[in-house]
Amino acid sequence: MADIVLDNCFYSYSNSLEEKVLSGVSLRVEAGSFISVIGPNGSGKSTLAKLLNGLYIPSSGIVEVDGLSTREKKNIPQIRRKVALLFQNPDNQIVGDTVEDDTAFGPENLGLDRDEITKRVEDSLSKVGLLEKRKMSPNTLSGGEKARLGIAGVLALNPEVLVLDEATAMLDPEGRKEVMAILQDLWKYQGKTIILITHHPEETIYGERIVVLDKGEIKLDGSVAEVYRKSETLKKLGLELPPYVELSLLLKEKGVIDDIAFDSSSLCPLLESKI
Amino acid sequence: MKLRVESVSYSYRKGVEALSDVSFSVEQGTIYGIMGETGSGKSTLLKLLNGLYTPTKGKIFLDDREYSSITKSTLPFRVGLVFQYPESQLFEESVILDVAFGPKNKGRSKEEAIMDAEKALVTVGLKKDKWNKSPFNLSGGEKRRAALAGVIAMNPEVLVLDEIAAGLDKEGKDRIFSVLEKLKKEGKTIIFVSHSPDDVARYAERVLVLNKGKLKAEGEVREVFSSPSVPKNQSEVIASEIREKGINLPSPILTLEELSDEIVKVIDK
Repeated sequence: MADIVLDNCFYSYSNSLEEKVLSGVSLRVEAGSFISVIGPNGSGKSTLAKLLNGLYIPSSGIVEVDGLSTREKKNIPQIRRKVALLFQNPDNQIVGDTVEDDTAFGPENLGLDRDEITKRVEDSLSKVGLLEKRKMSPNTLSGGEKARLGIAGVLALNPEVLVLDEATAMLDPEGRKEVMAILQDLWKYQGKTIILITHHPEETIYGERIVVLDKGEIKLDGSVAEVYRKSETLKKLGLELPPYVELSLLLKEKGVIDDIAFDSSSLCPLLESKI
Repeated sequence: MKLRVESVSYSYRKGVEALSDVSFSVEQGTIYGIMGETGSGKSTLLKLLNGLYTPTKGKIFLDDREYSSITKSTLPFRVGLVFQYPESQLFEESVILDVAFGPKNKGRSKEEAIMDAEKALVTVGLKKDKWNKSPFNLSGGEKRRAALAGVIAMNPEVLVLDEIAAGLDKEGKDRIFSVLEKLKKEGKTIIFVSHSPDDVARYAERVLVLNKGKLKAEGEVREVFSSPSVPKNQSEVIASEIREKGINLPSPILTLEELSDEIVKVIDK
């Protein structure tokens, strides 16, 4: 299984080391974990995503996937099979005339035989709940369904790690919830590693760990609860807090609770002890 | 000014109604929210309200005068429309000149227009040291308020705002709506259009919900959000999750602040 290790990574788009997009980022993503990455615009989130599968190579420092350095060209195909990257705006990534053709595109490119392709397509579409719509045109899908189709296309490649770079940014709350439910399922029951890069704070509560980037550096790194206990730091960075965290802060101010909750399961026990 | 919409329909093409048979009225000094998703007809309604479109059927009244009897060129000054992302239309070399542009267009002299602009900038809470800066040097929230000042400076009786809070953080939204609250107290009629149940529940006194061109619900905010067919706001979603765990809370809950108050009441009992 693929651990991803970033060791002291720097990245700048130009040669001038003045404008560093990432500056000394070290991070270990253990196989089977669900990490969310948040940070203000321009904090380096997207750049970090692109380092993870060798789309970008760090200006200095090392990125290793399962012990394979992205710096070695010969490792790249293997790394890309392990780590799949999914971007914003699913419309740009739809290539097939039907839902199943679209999903088959990746495995076909891998040169797999017909039976294996069919199996993978069915398997991926059922995981994202689109098997019934397999014969339909992708253009008839809702925003949430298109995003799920994007995930199916990536799953058909059978990666170990899914990196989602603002992949839910264009979706309404309903569509985002659909995608989050699938990610949680892939993480909990299919053993996938999920790296979710997002500017929707409420999405981070579906994972187990949050990394906060600011100006290319890691500001906070810890469990969901640990990070949200430091909500002052997040507010200073101009980051919004998930609604349960906002509510916890209001209740804390009123002296009702003395910890931060991030969902109903963590809030209600705090309240019940007072009633 | 009171605004009254009477059985209004609008079709872009024959036979297809983008808006059908919508009636409501907004009393002077009210903050009124129009909620609906993309394609619900809210943009069409907005353009009817400020006279950019004329209803295919039905009538719109400003106090007791029908729109068709009001001189067409004066209507946009009486019912001011603030477009979505209005800051993208800032263009003058300084904030003050930008805000003075509208009143100058309305026929005010240069000195008067500057005075109108200054007053509007005070209303939206933009400090004096920003007035002579280029609008491009303002923060996102400040730009939005400068653009709003541009419409306020024309002194309209009714303000119609399209997604005025879109893209702003909670603090930015609160600032914009505290400006609108101030204008309401001065007797302005405020109508804002939003796709966000959270913003409508938080800031509107009365609400109209549009769905596929038809009126789905209309009334006092709490009454509208009690209806099961109206999309839920986030605070109410959280409240319902807490209720599921056996803690009894009233319904509907409109804001997180209200939710925390209600929780305190349950605990104090």
